[in-house]
Amino acid sequence: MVKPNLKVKIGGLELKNPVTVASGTFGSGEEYRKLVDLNKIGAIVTKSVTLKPREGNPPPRVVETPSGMLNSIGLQNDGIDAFIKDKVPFLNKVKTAVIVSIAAHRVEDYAAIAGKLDKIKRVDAIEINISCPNVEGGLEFAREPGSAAAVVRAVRRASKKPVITKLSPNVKDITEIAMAVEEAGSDAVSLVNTFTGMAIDIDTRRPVLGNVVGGLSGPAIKPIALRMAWETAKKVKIPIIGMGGIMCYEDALEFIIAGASAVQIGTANFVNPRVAVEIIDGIEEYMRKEGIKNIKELTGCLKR
Amino acid sequence: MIQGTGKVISNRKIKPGYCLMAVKCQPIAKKAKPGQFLTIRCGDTDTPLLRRPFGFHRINASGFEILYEIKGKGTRFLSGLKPGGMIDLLGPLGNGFTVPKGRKNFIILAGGIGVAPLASLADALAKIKSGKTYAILGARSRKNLLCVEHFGNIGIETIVATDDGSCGEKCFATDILNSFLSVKKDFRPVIFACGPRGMLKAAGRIAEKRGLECYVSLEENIACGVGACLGCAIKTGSGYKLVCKDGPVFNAKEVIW
Repeated sequence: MVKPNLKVKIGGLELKNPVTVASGTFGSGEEYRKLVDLNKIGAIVTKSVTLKPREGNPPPRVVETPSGMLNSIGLQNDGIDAFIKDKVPFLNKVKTAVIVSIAAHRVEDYAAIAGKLDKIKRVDAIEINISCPNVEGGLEFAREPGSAAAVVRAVRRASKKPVITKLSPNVKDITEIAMAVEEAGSDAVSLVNTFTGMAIDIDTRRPVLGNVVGGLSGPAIKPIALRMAWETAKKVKIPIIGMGGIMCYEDALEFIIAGASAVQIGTANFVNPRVAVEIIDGIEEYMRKEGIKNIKELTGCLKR
Repeated sequence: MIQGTGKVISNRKIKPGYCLMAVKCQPIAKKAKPGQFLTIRCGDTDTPLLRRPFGFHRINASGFEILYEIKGKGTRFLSGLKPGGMIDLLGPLGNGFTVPKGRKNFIILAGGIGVAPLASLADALAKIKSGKTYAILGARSRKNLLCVEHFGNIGIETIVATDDGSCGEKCFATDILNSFLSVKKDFRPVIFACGPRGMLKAAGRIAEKRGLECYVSLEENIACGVGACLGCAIKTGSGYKLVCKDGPVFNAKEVIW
């Protein structure tokens, strides 16, 4: 049998396969260079970058919870100028797609970052993080269709690169936001970001996290994330990048069958740095076994 | 930094609640230095989910030992491993203890299970012939006191303190450190410490007061272990630093406690 075709298109961007690594879980890729063949991954989505440096939240920043983890990093990063100077040179050597996640408090800051990235050839697409639950006002743009759309329009105007909007699950109706950003010109949506949660130390009677609340990720959120991806797939025509607790190729296939064109692997990278590559191999093996020639046949093939 | 498979050579209880596991994994052992750590995937289910960090207790050419307290789901899993069992390892990670050039006198200060990564350091320091190394080992009680014989065996003079006085002096390890330094004014050691945060803070303060160098091995919840997730930040004089990548060993005077 011929090698199955795993290529997918996200707006104008073609990925060699649908398995990408989620923002915030993979640094800028360099941190994992000794552990995994980065060139095999469909795309690297880099840690969210802001206009100015941000020092992040007080520790503790992570804690394990049943079948998952909470994090409240607080968008620690050195700012867009340092990103371009310090991170892009390494990324220039990597032979896979690079999607840069951007975050801001103001629409004009999103536009300013996108404008700077527009000039960087290595940047294949921009992922707009309107859904960070760990900074004050981080969710502001994710919650209202109008403000989410305003960010997308501003980034669109500032950059010709494909735009992916990352959606928060901490909203009344995620499909409403997805439709609004589609209307505003987003080339794709990625979902879901983490669910706001918390943990308490009963000995000290204090919150475990320095920031009190954090974002829940990992297998614990997978069924909810999957449902949201499925609901969103029914409402928008743009590609969906599904994520939320994907630990193995079977999980990834669930998202694809539900309607995702690609997936992001997040927390699982911490458990097994090689997991993204193992998931790619697993999907390919599944396609051979099932006689599926093109991954696109699987996207949204859910039977009812 | 290697993700590799280790083979359990032995895994025995050395005291109620404490185990010593010997693991064979040459690629990691060859690169491991005292004070560095590795992460172990504890099982293949979602519980526990994240890899667990452990300091290298002792290191040899083909493997290393992990000394651990059975405390939660991860260490409970480890305590059930039998010789011959295979485990998924990632290491060596972080920066270990650096012995400042030309220094010959040292004090190793351990609190409870904090002694775990100090044994390999002690092995290295014991080889420096021209100076002297002392160890001060503290614990809540005799039943939490570990490795005293090991330090003796490699020729390091060891002083013991317990909170309840069940072994050695009834005081904190840092009290011993303080009075030791008061008596031996010309000794001027470099201090290497690992243990509870309060102990490390006190050790740092004692060292600073006397103008001595003090290096502490810190703990924080760790997710990725490789500097990617920024989850294990601690506050320092020059902003947040990562325990997994910048540490786990820090100069005590840099740490904001």
